[in-house]
Amino acid sequence: MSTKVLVIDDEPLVRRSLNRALTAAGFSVSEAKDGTEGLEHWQQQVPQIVFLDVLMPGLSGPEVLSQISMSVRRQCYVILISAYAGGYSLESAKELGADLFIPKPFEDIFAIVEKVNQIATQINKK
Amino acid sequence: MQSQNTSQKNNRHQEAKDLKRLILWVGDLDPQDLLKPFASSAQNHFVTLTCTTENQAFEIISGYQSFVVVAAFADAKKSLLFLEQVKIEAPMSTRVWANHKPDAGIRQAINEGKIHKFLSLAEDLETARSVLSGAVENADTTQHRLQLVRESTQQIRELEALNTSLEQIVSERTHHIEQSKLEEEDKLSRVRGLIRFIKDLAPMSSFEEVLLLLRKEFRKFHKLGDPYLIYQLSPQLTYFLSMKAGQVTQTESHEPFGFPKLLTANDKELSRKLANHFGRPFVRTLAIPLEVKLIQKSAYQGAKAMLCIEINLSDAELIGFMESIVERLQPLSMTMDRLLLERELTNYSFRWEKTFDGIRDPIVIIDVDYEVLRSNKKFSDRVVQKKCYQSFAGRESICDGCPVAGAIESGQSRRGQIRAGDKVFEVHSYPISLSQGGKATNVVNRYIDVTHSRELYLRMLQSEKMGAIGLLAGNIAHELNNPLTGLRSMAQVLLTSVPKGSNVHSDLIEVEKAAGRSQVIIKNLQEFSTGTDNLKKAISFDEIINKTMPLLKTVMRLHRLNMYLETANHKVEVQPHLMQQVVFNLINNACQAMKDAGTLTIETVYDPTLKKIAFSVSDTGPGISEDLQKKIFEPFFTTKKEGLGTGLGLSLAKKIVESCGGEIKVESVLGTGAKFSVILPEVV
Repeated sequence: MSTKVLVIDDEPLVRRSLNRALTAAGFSVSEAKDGTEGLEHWQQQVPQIVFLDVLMPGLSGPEVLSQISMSVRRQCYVILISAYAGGYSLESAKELGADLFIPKPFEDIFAIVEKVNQIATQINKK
Repeated sequence: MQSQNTSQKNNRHQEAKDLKRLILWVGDLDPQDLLKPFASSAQNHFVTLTCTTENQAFEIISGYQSFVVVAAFADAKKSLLFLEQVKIEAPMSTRVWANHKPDAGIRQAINEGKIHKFLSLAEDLETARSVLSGAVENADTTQHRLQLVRESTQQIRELEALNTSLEQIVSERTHHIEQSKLEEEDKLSRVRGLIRFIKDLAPMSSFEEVLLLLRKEFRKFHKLGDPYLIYQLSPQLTYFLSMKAGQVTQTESHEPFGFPKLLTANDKELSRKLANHFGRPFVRTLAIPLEVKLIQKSAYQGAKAMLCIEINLSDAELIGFMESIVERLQPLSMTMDRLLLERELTNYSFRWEKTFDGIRDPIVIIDVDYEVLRSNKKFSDRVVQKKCYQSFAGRESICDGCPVAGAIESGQSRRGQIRAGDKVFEVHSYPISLSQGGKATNVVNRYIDVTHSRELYLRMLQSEKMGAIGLLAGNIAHELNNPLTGLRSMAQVLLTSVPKGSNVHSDLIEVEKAAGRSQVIIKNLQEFSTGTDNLKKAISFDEIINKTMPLLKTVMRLHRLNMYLETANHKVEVQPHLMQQVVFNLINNACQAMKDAGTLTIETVYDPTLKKIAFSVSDTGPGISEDLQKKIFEPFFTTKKEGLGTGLGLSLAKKIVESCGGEIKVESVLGTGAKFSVILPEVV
């Protein structure tokens, strides 16, 4: 069974490019177009890896993190992505309850795919 | 007098008329009827008398002055002797010698004037009578002459008396006139003295001068001490002006001091006070109060003054002195009054001027033609010329932004901002109307130096603007980064699904590259505007330029660009985003200076001996004159149109470069262009 990845981002091209690249790498990818939808999908699908944008209409990334149930949260790896690098770093992302922070713009999407591969390997080892 | 004289004359005439003529027959010879016609003549008032002796005759003639005496002694000699005697006794008598025959001595007697006529008794009666008539005529003539002589003597006497009395009158009058002339002269000289005194008082400008004048004035009265001038402006303090070795000295006393209301001599209390104050006895001191009226509400209301002089004059001298004093009292009082008022005025004026000068801001009073009437020190530290703008701003026309015209027009205070030299002043204009209700005739201008606060304000504006741009750039960056991320990632994903070398593949590569460039631009913009790194760091100047260039593509698109960057391996220690501003400003200015298409040359050169990096931007614009070159780095200097430049760009650039230990300079040749250089030390 392939690893489930949820991409929560309000930018369709970001969602689609991640979806394409990760699907091509063998992941099972689903998309959510904002925080509210993302929270719903997360609760229902219980993905292993979640890409979470910070600034979104409706619920923002950190709000989604605060509202997700602990049981569901504990089962997945959360990557915070943001174009607004000013206020965020790996440390602050971890404080918010995320596991990794990747600033936008991405230099190379395949570097990210590679990173996700590594994370999936670690998750599956457990 | 005249009428009296006339009546006297008339009386005398009457007497003469009444005077009876005497014919005296003396002797032993008989006159027979000879005298008869004379005795009976009532008209002629004859008195005919006869006597026989000389003694009888003398007795008779003693009552007459003029008469006819006939000596008729038989003894001719006796007759002659008698007549000689009569001549002595009554020289005015008419003497007749009567005899029977003429004597030998008759001719001689006639010649000697002893007898007048010879009456020959031998002749007939008629002849004898005619002789007698002749004698009577003679007597009449004599009598008449005598009368005339008497009258003229009388007249002469009267005339003489008249003359004497006239002379007396004339001399009396002359004396009187001389006396009054002397008096008039004396009076005149006193009046002249008084006028001179008043004239001398007029220009007096201090109490000291007044005292010196009084001393000179009273010098003519000997036995007079030097005058003392004592005055009070308030009851607490008394001033004493006295002479000491020809100089006026002023002393003061806080002791209470009484001023007499009237002129007093020998006031013991006063003498005691003066003696106490001056440390020497005062005798016979005359105190002359000076009436100091002063205007109402004056600061010196209640001021008192008096003059004290020690006198040792005789009574006569004292009168003269007192007259002189009394005459001079009023002008003297008025002068004291004037001096006190002047002093008050000077005090006010002094206080006002000190206040005026003490004010930190320049202040000037001008008229409607901008002519300077008065100014304080802050204003007149500069050379004061006629017009305020000449003096203050060194201009030949009214300053831009001057509020004076508006203030005059409206009669209300107005504000405006003017530039004087390298400073900016806020001008407050307050119109003053000297005529009630009329139009403003003068304006008071107060200048407040707002250069610094304006600079701060503009800087604040600038930094606020920059902050806003930064915020905006951050937001835009975020908004753009999202789609750009998708765009680039999508391109990268798609590239894997199309065969290499195909048209789509190469198109996707271009899309991916463009998205990548866009990301760089946004990143640079973010760094430039927000200044994410406020710390100095070692960076190559070439890198700073490369990061800035993408932001300037729009302004540079008209011009040809030559770039010679040779310092990639040499670093400078700067705050990169600030230095980016410098680069941005210099290149932006250079592009704006070239109105038509020109050539922009950007160079970096390393000087190995000085270990310095030089960055320069050259344009082919109109160039900058030498005058402008001096001012170009001053804050708020701009040649750009209002709204296009703050005039801060180059001044900020200078500050930034200098804060990094570097220098900025400009070289230019008019018509060929300008070159700005930044020289920074290398850091290892």
